[in-house]
Amino acid sequence: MRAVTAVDIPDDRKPDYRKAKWIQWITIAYLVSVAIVLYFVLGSSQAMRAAWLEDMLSIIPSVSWVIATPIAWRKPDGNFPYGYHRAVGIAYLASALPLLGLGLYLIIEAAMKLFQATHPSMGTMVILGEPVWIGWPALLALAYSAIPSVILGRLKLPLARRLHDKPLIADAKMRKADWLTAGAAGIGVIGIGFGIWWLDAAAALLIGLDVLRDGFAQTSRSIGDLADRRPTTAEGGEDDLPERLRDWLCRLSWVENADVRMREAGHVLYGEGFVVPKDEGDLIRRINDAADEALGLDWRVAEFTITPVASLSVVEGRSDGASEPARAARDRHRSRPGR
Amino acid sequence: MLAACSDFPKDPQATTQRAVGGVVRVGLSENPPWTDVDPEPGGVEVELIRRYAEAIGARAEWQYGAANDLLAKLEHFELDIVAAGLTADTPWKGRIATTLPYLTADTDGDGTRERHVLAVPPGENGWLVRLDKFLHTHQQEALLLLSEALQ
Repeated sequence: MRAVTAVDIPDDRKPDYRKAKWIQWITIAYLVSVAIVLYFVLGSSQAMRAAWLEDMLSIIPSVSWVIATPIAWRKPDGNFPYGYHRAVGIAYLASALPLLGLGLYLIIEAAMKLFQATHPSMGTMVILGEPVWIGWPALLALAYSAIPSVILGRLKLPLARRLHDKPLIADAKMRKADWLTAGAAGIGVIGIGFGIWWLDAAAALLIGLDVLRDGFAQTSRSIGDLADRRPTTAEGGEDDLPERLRDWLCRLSWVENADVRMREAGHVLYGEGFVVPKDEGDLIRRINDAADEALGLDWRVAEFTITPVASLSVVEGRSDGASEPARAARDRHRSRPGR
Repeated sequence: MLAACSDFPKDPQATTQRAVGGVVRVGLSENPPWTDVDPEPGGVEVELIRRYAEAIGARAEWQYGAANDLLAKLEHFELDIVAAGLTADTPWKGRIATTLPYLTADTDGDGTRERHVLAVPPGENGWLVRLDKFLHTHQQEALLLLSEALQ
């Protein structure tokens, strides 16, 4: 049993990582400023409150990313022989869970305001010595909470894809969708301006539903990652790397049959190959060479152990504990022509 | 631009429409020097409301009572303004709306400056903004009225 090979960020992706770190710090500073600006123009609008709380909570993913990513790339040590890559998944879960709570809270609060027919008050704010209806600065503040946010999201997304960083992708997508929250809150404010008191709570309800949906999707995805679901692509689609590795093993001259199982830990992948050798000559050297070569197939493979077995039925029950879709994908793969 | 926004925001309960050129229903709770009910309505707030009513061509109609009862009525749109020497940190804040401070001063000698406000029904934002603008331009008068009342 070899100790885990330490995986480092590939050299060609290091600039992406540095850029992502910069953007995350800018994001944190910007979100704090948005929270402060929004606070001064809340009035008693429920939609504005929802936008404000959502904004404050959306600081968490960036903060946890900044904390967790340097930890995740630490070298394995005696205490953590598999390395620290799980830090990413833990940070992801930590930023997904609060969304669930906030979504529920916003929905309940908005529903109560609708039910009690609470009329939101938005009075006056003195700007440069002139009294102005607070709705106007509120709309400006909402624009400030949306436009830079969308730009930051668009900047983050390609970096996140190259770094195969799921929390960062989720964060970037949420940022890109920020104009929805701001737009809904804006409709709430304009509704108040036209004297349609319920439009405000209705907008807050929509924001709450959107936050809940987001929280649900991200929580289930992050739990799946922590619970050793088979590898997915950065976008959450199916990754066929286990199948490719298995086919590659099967094509080796000394291999009769092979199967592979893999799991994901943050940025990297761990896997095991079970091999039925044609003959047992020179087996140790062959296995070592194959395992080394496997690491070179994809930068994300941190460890690949190869175990010789007499027949695959020994591991079938386990390695084929792969989900139904995974098995279907494998069958598709097997039936591909040209193999 | 500003002219176009003059009837924005609007009132869900049409308070402005009813009060302008008509009657302003004012709840009055005794709290000198801000409000007095004996022998007749007087005090800083009463004087300000009188001038405001005049400015919108309306007549003020006074209802006496305890501040809590009046604010509960205000919450259900049965009054248009409550004058009770309230400050901006009133615990009623979530249930009614308060105006901009018409006067900010340390009036009870505890070293912090109280922000004195009037109360209006919740969500009647057109009415609230109109009264806010009036109070904002009459801050000097409020100070004068206070110094007269204290003499």
